[in-house]
Amino acid sequence: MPVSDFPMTRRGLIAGSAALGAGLALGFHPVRAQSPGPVRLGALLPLSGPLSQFGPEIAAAHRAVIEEVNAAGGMFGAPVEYFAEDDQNVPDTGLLATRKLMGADGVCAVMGVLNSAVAAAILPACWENRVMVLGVASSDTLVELPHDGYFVRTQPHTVLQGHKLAEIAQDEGAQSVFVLAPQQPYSANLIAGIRAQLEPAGVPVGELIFDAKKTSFRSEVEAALRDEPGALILGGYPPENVIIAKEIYRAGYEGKVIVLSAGLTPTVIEGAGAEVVEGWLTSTPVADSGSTAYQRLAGLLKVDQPHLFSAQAYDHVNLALLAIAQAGEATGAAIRDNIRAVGDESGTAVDNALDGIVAIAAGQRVNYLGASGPCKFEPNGNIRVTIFDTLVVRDGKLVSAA
Amino acid sequence: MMRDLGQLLVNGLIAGTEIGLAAVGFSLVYAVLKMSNFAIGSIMTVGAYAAWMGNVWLGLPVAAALVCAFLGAGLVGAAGDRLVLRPLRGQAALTLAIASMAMGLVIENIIRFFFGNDFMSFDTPVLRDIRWAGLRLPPVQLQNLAIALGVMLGLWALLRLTAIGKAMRAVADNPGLAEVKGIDPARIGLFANIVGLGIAGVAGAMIGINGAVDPVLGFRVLLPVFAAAILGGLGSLPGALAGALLIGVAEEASLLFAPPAFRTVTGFAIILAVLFLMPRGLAGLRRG
Repeated sequence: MPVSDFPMTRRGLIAGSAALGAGLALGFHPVRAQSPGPVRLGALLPLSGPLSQFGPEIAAAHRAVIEEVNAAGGMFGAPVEYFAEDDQNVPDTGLLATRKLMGADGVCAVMGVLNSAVAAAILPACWENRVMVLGVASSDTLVELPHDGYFVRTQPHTVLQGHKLAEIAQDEGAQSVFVLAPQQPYSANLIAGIRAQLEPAGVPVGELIFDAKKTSFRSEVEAALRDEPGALILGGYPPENVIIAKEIYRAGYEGKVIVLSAGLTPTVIEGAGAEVVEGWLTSTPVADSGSTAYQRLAGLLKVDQPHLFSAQAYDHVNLALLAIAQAGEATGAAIRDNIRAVGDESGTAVDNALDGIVAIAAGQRVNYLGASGPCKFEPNGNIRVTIFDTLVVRDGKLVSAA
Repeated sequence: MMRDLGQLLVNGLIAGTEIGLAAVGFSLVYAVLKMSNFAIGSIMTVGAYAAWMGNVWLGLPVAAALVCAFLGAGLVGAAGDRLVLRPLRGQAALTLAIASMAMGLVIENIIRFFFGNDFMSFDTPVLRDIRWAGLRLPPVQLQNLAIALGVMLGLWALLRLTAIGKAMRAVADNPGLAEVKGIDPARIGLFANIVGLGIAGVAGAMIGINGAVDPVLGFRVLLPVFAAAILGGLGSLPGALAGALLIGVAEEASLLFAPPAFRTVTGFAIILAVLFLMPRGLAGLRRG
């Protein structure tokens, strides 16, 4: 409708402004308007800057699912609308983009959100405006924010990763474990996850938190190896791991070295030397490549192996649409209140929104099984089950240990 | 316990020599030009990258790569001084200090532009530690120790035995009198920059050989380097070395009673205590 269709007088403008001001003062916000349709979904993605290699495929996964639903007639009699914004991996930029998504575009959900700092910046604005966030960001502290249920994430949090690293140590038969972790917010949770897994089994766990800004970690490695632990778990990032790797090798350590997935990359192997990190292990979250959802996603994107983040993006958009269908309305609160209901394990298994919407319309309960995993959430928003793959360094390459 | 103490002492001395070399460079520039050049952190990084290029791109052995570090850091440092700091000479000390910090940031970002943010390693073998008398002695760090001692000896010979070295000492002692005697302060200043910052570049390369090279390598040790120079008594070369060794040992010794995350804090608390007792630093001992 063209703007000229609204006759605008000065009195009308003043009255309108006053009403809008009063409305805002009373807490009414345009994005809270509840209408049955159209369904508007938003995405906050790194399309430039760090992590930007993942953004385009994530957006493609979102679009592919929405186009499928729209080709079948959309939802509530209108096409589902999709708005993607670039967060540049910068919190301030992410917050501005989110305000645009909520205010100008009127979305009821924001999907994607890879960076934890960006997530921390946008979450308060989202829960205050009752907009649901379906994210990837894995920092443990995010779920401790008072998000009132408006946040779920599909990426495993640090405690879960700690469990997994500890399991590898157990599988390798380590009788004692030492954790060497940098002074980072996540380290306490990582160590807590490792302890929770090992100590009930009678495996003693030593720990040392170090200052990662140093140029040498000789004393730290010496302290870690003093009691000759059966396995050494490293919780740091690549820059310090290269230096630590050399120190461990120089010390002649014979036990197993297990590394948090972000800290064992091809650059670490190249930097430290293949011989130095030979046999090092890591556990990395992976997509459920055997699931029908993952196969569908590969077909939609026309790629052989969609990235884990793309699989999670596929799950975000399907879960949001299914929760909206279950609720019968397109609001953040509706998604929040129904996102667990569409994963009803006694319901009909579905791997995409289209089939799920049909099943829900027929009065059935549905159990969404996603491309990144079964997509079941804890009350605080954490993912309950994630699939991990154990990788090992062999001849300078990271390969599956299986 | 005694063995732990011995090992910490060894580790501290090794760490101290790397910082000490840079602190000596910092003090040399201060002695001649009477200014604190805080770009020294980035200049150390330049040295590390110059050595890395020599070693990885040109396939040079470590000794030749260190010559690249000296030349690269010395020339970049001297050029930076000529372009940025010399026009400001005569301004307040704080102005020069802030200008040198800004120059350091610019250099760091130029490095980022050309080499990216990733870390890089030297093409040198990682060797197992030598075990001797219950101590673990790392060959690469022993090599670094020998290089540092060699550089110090060379610097001592330069200052004591050559005409330009004597001229540098003359300018450091009394610039006015030196000028009256026909010594060109600009030429001596340039030479002091090349030598002092070149030595800092060698220190940066040594840190890189021991671990890895990245754009913030020098920035990470800037504070200990400056602290060592202050502790030694600004402008005193033996003082800077002694200050660095004291910092290295103090940081390591702190591990006996505090967790490693507090290593820097404990080390600097000890330095503060020393400065309370000797406000002119270690060099004050000799003078006072």
